[in-house]
Amino acid sequence: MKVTKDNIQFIDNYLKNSNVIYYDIRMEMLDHIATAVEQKMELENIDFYDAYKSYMVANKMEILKGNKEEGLHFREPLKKFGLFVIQPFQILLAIGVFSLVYFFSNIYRLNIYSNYLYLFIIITYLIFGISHYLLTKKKKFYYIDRNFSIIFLLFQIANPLHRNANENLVTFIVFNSSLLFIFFAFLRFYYLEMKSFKQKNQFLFQ
Amino acid sequence: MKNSQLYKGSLNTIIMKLLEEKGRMYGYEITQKVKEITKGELNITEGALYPALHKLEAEGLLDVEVEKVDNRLRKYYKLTEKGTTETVNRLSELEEFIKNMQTIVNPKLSY
Repeated sequence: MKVTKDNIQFIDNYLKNSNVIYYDIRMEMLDHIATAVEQKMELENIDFYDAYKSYMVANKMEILKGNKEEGLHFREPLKKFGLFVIQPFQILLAIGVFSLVYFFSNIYRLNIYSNYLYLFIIITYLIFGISHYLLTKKKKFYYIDRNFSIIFLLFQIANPLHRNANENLVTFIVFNSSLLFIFFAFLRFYYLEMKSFKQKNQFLFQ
Repeated sequence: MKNSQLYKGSLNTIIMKLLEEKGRMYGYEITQKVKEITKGELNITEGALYPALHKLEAEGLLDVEVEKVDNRLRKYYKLTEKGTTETVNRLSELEEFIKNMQTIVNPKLSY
């Protein structure tokens, strides 16, 4: 016996109401419950609602444990990003960004306007954050949010450092070129991760 | 999962071994297969299985395929190349562990 489209909608609504906000996590839980309920309907010859009720009474707590992943973990995406940053393309990017900041700092004495430059970087981060929010507003994916979350870590590290870093030309160049480089590298990382996720999970986006 | 640290420590290896044999599997199928093989002795709970699968996926040991099956989406897991190599290592590590335990717990049988 197979569960119907309405039954699927019923399970999905139940999971949504149980705060399973990420679509990729919810979709997997839904399939697990639906398959278990189908088996129960067949073995015990009962209807969907009886099978569903009986299954959820026994397994609800275990099933919803998967939703703990709602809390984002930094370790794995940070490790992945760390490995990404040391790839040849990113090394070249780092050299390019550092040379540009060094060149303009020496010629135009950019560090006089250091606060404006930092403000510009922060605004760029904000625009990126808002774009991410709008892009994933309708359907949130745990995999994507988890990768995105590491940008906040960067901001938290950079924010208290920027005043001291702007005190002389050398620290100014190192700080701002690092910040710009990590931001550009992150943009590329985010784009490639999103692309690969979309390729593997085309059905999730339909 | 049976309430024992011994089993919990081997969960990833169990998953990888099954995927090595079957090619690709989805979550519910893995729980049922383990139950079937162990004749109901070992029961992998959903709360233990999915975080383990997601971790293995994040480590690049598993790859995923999402397909539409009977009105819903189903996520299949399969070993990556790195995962296949790692399975061999983990299985030999587990076999070594069992052998050593056997020697300690039941020395007579180990000879």
